[in-house]
Amino acid sequence: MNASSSKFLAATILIYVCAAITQSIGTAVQSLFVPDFMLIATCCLGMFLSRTGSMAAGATCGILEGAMIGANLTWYGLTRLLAGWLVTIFKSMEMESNALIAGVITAIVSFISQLLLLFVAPSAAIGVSFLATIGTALVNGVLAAPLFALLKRLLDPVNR
Amino acid sequence: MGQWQNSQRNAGRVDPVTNVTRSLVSPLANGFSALNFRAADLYSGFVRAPALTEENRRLKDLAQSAEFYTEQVDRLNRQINELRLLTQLGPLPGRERLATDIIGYFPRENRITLSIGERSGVKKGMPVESGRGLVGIIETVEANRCQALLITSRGLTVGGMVLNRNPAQVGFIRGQDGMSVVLSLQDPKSPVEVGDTVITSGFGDLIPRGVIVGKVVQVIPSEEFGTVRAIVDPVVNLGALKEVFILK
Repeated sequence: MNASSSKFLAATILIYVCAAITQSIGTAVQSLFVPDFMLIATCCLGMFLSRTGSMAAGATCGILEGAMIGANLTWYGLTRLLAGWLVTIFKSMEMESNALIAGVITAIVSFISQLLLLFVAPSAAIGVSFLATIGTALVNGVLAAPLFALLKRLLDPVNR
Repeated sequence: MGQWQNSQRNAGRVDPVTNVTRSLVSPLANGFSALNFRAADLYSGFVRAPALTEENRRLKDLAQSAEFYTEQVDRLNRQINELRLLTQLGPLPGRERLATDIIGYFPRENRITLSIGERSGVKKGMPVESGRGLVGIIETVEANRCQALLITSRGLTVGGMVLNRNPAQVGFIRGQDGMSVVLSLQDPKSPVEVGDTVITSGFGDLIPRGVIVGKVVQVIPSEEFGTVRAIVDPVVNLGALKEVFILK
């Protein structure tokens, strides 16, 4: 299996598993720190994909997430597409590729993406949603680190 | 895409993208949910076993004593329906309760996904309640699942009233910040006080009167607009629910 096929397969499996977790995890997490697994998937995949691939993965994640939640598909798709693009911008800065950096990038991108969603499609009062956005960004950053390490082991073993 | 989605939603249906996505994701998601519940139950069993045994015994006693009253209430409800039919008023809504599991909870969007749908007779607009009070209203229905908008959602408005006030204080309940709801009363001198219980008014075809919404925690009179806004804390802890009932 060549590199692009294995990346496509990994992206498909990761997005599917994250979608299932998104659907089921809500009943277990009851705080402001609700992780957004689709955003984590977008950010982590974006670090291994091309700009187009990253944006496509982001848009797919957004549409799937919006569909499961019952939220606006357009805004979810666009904000996650932007997240995919932002990750590739950070990647082009030629920072060191490690789990800590991946966590930080995920936290920043999650915050920007969720903040944008908060303004274009607000679902609750701004104050509470803003706090939830910060909480989600932090949790996403923490969870992205091990996922990035796993993906690096699978997709990019030479540069590990 | 958003407009297409909204037009389907207004009709109580879901768009094909949503339908396909949920159908594909549901099998694995249900597996994760079951695993999650079992792990939580196992932990709870280890940690709280003696307290749970005692609670179980007490609840069995309560259920036994409540059985007599349930029969009596059912008989009286049947009589009310018969009398309404005689006067050509039609039966009251919400007499039948369909038990269902919550298979998805999305606190940020104030929505829950439930495990039954059109095949069980679920329709758009039906109220969802837990044993303690109103949870939300059905928004979209698919064959084997449906999605409800929670009462804390800003997109949901239902008729509400303050219990035990004479004359009845009737207004509209609307979600506020994802955690509380607001009862807006059109009379600025409405005698609402902190601690009052708010229930559904029942002025509709699908939502019955008397389903508890919550307790008033703050009253904000606004004489210049001629209204009173009562901030209501829902009685139901929306995040802690596993099973709910759809009132048919």
